[in-house]
Amino acid sequence: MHHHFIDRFAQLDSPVHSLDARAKLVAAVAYMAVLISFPRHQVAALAPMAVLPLAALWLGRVPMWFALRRLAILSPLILTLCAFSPLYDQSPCVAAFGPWRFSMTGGWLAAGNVAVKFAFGILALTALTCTTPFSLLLEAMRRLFLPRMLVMQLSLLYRYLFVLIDEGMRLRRGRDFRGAAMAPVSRRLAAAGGIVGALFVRTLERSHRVHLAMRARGFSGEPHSLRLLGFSRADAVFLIAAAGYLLFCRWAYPALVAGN
Amino acid sequence: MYAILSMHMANELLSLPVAAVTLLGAAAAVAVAARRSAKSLGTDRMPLMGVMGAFVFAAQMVNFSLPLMPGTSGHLGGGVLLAILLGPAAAIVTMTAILIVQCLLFQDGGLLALGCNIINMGIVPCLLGWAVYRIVLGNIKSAPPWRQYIGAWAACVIGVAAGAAMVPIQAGVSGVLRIPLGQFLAVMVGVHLLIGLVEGAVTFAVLAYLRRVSPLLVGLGATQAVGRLGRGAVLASVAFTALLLAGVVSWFASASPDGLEWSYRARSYGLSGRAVAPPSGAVAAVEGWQARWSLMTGYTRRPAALGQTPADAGGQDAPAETWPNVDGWGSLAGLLGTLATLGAVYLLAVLVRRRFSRPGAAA
Amino acid sequence: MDPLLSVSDLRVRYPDGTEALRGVSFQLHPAQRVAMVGPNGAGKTTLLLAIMRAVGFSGRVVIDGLEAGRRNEERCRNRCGMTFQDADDQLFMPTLLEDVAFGPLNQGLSAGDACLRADGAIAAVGLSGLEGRPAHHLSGGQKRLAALATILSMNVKLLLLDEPAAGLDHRSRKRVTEILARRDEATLLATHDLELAGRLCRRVIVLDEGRIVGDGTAEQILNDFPLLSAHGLA
Repeated sequence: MHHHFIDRFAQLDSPVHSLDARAKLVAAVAYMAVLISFPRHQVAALAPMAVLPLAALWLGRVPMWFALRRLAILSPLILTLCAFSPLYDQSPCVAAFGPWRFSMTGGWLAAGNVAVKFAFGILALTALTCTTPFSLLLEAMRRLFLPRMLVMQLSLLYRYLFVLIDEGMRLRRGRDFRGAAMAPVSRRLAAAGGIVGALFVRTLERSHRVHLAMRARGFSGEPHSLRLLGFSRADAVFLIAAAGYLLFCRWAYPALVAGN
Repeated sequence: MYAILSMHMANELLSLPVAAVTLLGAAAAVAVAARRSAKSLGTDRMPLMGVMGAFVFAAQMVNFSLPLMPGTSGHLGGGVLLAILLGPAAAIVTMTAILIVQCLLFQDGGLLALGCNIINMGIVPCLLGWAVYRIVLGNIKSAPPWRQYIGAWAACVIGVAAGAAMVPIQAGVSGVLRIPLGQFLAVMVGVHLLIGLVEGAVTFAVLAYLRRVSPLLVGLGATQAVGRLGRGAVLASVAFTALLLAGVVSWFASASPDGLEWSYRARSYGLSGRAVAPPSGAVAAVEGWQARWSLMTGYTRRPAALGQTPADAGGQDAPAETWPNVDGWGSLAGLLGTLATLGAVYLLAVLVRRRFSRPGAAA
Repeated sequence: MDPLLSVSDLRVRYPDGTEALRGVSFQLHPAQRVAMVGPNGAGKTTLLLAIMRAVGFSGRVVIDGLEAGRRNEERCRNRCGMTFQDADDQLFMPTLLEDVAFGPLNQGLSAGDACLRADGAIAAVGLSGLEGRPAHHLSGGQKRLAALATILSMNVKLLLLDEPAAGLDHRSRKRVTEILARRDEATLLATHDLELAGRLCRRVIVLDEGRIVGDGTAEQILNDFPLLSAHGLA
């Protein structure tokens, strides 16, 4: 099972894990929305926004090395884009921080802004997904807004992801062990095409069998659910606290800091 | 290991209005696609598209080392292949499921950017790729194999590149990272033309395999039942591609990216006069949107909160106050306060962890 | 006592022309456990699928007094449950509890009742405590038992089991056998594992090339070496 890293920490137990998935989802979306609503030149004002995802990760017993590693893997594209920003936005400005003054261009500021926001956003998403089992997350989305059929497709995807990845790895290993690296391009391409093609055919056949199993258990097109979620007072408290903190971060804190 | 280079769009490149509009637009389009697939597959078969989505994940893991570039490998994106094999409606729904799972399980692509990602990597490649494929293919029953392969290849290149072209547009309208639209577009489309070539190669190999092993699946039968697009949709796709290509070419030709972000001391492009009066109507239109939407993202005119000047004056806003009370102490204090809060939370977390990892607690 | 399952002259022909079943007839009584043995390709799986109305057939299949026809597919399926050779095809929900509750929910039970039934079925196969586990965290033997639980929760009268212990190690096979031995539903077990057949069932039917070539008590059939070797079973 090479995919043990998927959904790895979601089965743990912690105060964050016990929160209702809907509350966490709403909080995460609100957090991200507030995050991207910050103007592009405010970088230090973003600081208090760090507290929410880090608290969720820490209290949720998600190891930081995992979150940081995910961040590192996902960063290349946005970092590349950020690197371009200073090249194109050369308007001068001065950043002040404590007793220090830095003069830099607007491009750097915007780049820093986006990079910090990106990091926080990924941490928030990681916190959400690592403290909530996928099935509960799906149930939360179903209750909140997602159509039932799409949720059922997502749950089937999740379920067979592991099976298919295993099959794909086995096929790929079979190819690699037969010296595929040495083969000319055409044969390598044919091997890749064969593996993907074989996966497709197998998956199609498996989906027919799954369909049979579903019909055999009475499925006729109408997904039902077990209603596994329960909203409690702790969840309400969490939501209110999170909302309050977000309001503080977005409006009260920048105003305080600017001395207005 | 999920080590594929992530080409998904992040939340932070978007502004709230753009995120909202793309989410709604994508949702509407997916709903239409879902209804079409339900009609041709039957509602009790709809969940199976989730299983096919798992196939795409596994297929994305199958790498294929590129001939001229040691150390890099090509992967399959999957949208166009799915559209060719399952029809565009089913492909769109499947890609939507895949993108949602990628976001939630792998944190790949932001939650708020899902709308954009569904458009860029689902709707556009599936629809456009499928249309190109069918156009090149002609009559499916009497087409010789090479037409199918050429069609698939072209479909991948155009579909992937078109989807990629949407990214700079979405980022540009959001106005968060002010990278000149023309250059961003050129780079994105250029890179993705290459990626599309590789994807086309793998797709072609898959079709070749399926033609031998299971010809029914390659639409000497199967695809015809799923996703017969009306001629109107095909024409619209072709028109869209044409417009897109024309737009890209004209931006290249204008040789001067939109002049919004340039301060007057910008690096000389030799055309600073033109920076003020954008040459092409299309660029002016996008700039107009950019100005309007960027203003809505809370661009403030009061003294910048951190004692910094607003990053650029642009041409649209009132002349920004330069050098107001350049007071950095407020932000330092704020940062220290944040660190103190974080420290307190961390201590709390350590206590919590100790409580939960006592032998009695469930794992 | 009326038979629970009555199959008369069942014939199944696949689209490519092969005749999978060529006139099979037998009866099954309530609480009777029957093993259907035969070599690979004999038609055992096809027979089970036909009883589930999952493949087209000609002939008569009557389950619990209800003749299987086009219009009462649903009600027929509520009376019998089938497990497949590959348990992965049957466990398609994110967690075990949801999988086992899938059937009852489709039967019209409320969420709470479905959960209760699911809990009971999970306990009956000895998997209590694993309700929240996703299927890919279960071992091969546990998956087989989970698949069994998914049909037990539907309170069916007839169990159709396709190779319930194939590919399992000794310990898992023992568990599966123990649990099946405790059940009192009528069971039709398709297998080429003679030891399993003898351990669980008192009646054995031998199927080969789509026809029944032997039907008797377990002692008779399983000791009839010429019969078994003639049909690739020994």
